[in-house]
Amino acid sequence: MNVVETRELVKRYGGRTALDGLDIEIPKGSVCALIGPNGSGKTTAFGLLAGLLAPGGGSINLFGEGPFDPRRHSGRLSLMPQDSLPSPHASLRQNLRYYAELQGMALDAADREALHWLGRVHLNDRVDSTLGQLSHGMRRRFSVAQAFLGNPELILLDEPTAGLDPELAAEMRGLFAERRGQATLVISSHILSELEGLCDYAVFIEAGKRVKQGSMKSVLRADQLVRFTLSRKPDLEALQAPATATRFEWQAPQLIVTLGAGELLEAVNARILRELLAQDIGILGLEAGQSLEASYLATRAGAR
Amino acid sequence: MSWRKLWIVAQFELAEALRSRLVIVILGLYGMGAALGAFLFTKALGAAEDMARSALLANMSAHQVPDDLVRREAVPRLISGLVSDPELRQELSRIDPLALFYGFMALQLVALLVLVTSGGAHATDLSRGATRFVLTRCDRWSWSVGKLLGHAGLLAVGLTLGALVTSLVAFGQERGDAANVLWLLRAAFRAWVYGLAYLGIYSAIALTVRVPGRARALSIVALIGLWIAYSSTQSSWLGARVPAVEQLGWLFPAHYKLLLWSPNWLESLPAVFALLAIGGAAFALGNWLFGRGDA
Repeated sequence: MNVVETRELVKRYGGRTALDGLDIEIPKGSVCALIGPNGSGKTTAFGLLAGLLAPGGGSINLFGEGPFDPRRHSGRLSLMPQDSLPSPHASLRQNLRYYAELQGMALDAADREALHWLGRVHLNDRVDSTLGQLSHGMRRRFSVAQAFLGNPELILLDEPTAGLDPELAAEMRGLFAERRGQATLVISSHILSELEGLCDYAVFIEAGKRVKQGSMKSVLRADQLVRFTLSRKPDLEALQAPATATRFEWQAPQLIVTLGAGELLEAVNARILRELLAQDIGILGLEAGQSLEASYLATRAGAR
Repeated sequence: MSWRKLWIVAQFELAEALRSRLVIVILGLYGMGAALGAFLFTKALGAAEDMARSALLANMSAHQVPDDLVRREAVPRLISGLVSDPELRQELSRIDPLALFYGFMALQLVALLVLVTSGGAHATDLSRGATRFVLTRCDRWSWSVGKLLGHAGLLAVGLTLGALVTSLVAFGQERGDAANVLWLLRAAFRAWVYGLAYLGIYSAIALTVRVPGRARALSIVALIGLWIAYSSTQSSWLGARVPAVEQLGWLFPAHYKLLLWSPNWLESLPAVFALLAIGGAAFALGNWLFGRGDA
């Protein structure tokens, strides 16, 4: 079942088209990467899904129940916006308690929930601080905390780790991974290596249109392509010798092996490994599929 | 619209406004202004009473001039400088003079007070993105009406504070009593109702414009524009040239200012409803435009 489905979704700001017939489907329980260049429409897509923006055409279907409706979806969907600031005079605790109450929690439960999530993002020593007393990274963490209040079913995270130091960014990724299977997370980020390890589904958008979507495995072509990191360039002719559909490409220090139709990964691997050892080449690494960055760049090039 | 969420938003907005140093400073200045004004007014009233006493002494001996008689004579002297209509002057003379003064000042200043404390409030949240945290949890009507009610609460706090400060001054000048405090609170309530009309208008502008600076600027333009437009409808020059122009006055809050003065609740109640209708209609229009656009 898909938690998010959009059909021919259009959004225009004056004469500028931000989304130009966006069709996406995001399966329930997935951790989905939403990838695209600046201005491709990722933030606009989040705004439309969360009901903050009015669409110029097309349809949105959330949870199989139509577009966002606060009466049905309040507390079931949350958004971590990119550049938004909460109320400036209330403390972090008061702000989160307020949001949790709006999600339907009683005051005591809302307060406990606020403290719990502030703790999870390491702001437990700043619960009584106001927004003006926080650094940029702390504000991002606050924003992450509010998105997880009450364990919503669909969480939209717009650049969640931007501006965080590496340790905290890793902790946040851990937090997102914990929700896998329990909630659907849609994460927009320009740090593709981060998304590659975290997400199991990906959507590429370009100029307001979807150019690719599917499981991370299919997007990375994990069952069609193998990358060997080698100590030196192998003899490609020797590798190619048997009459197979397998293609070999050397991109130092990696040997990119693309399987032909009907070929089994295990069988091809065994043959190549034997040949590489025979050529006395050191095998430094082995990965299935291309990198998300390579997939993204190839998709972009194809889209142009 | 959810009443529970509306109430949560209203409480949060009132608390948030009271946490703002700027609002506290403005309310403090308003309270101090009320205190200073009340002090100066009681001095002026004392002088008017002395004049009335002197006039009465010409016909009576000193021990025959009771204080309440002096006050009954002094107040109309004071009001006559402000109100020309004899019937209204008669009605106003029944109100405690200090409450009259506070009510008059509050009514004159409340539109400006609302502009300073609450003008552009909705636009501030929209422009800084605070609504993006709220509107996935709450419908737009509950948020905007809740915020409006929070600011209505803030206005009530400010006007009640002014009334209580004025009462304290009255007690300090030995003019205070329970009836006096009650009159002051009634005056504060009337100013509050009058302020609600402007709160509705300013909030509608903020919901439509969504940029705080622009919303405040337009609210100032609206305040001045409403005053000019209402004055025009009351102009005898224009009245002589454009038929029924005077009747258009009922569309403006200023039209109901004098009706609010009546000590009789039944007489001032239609004005209360009219002011709420003006503020409510403007706010509903702003909300309708907000509901159709982006948040």
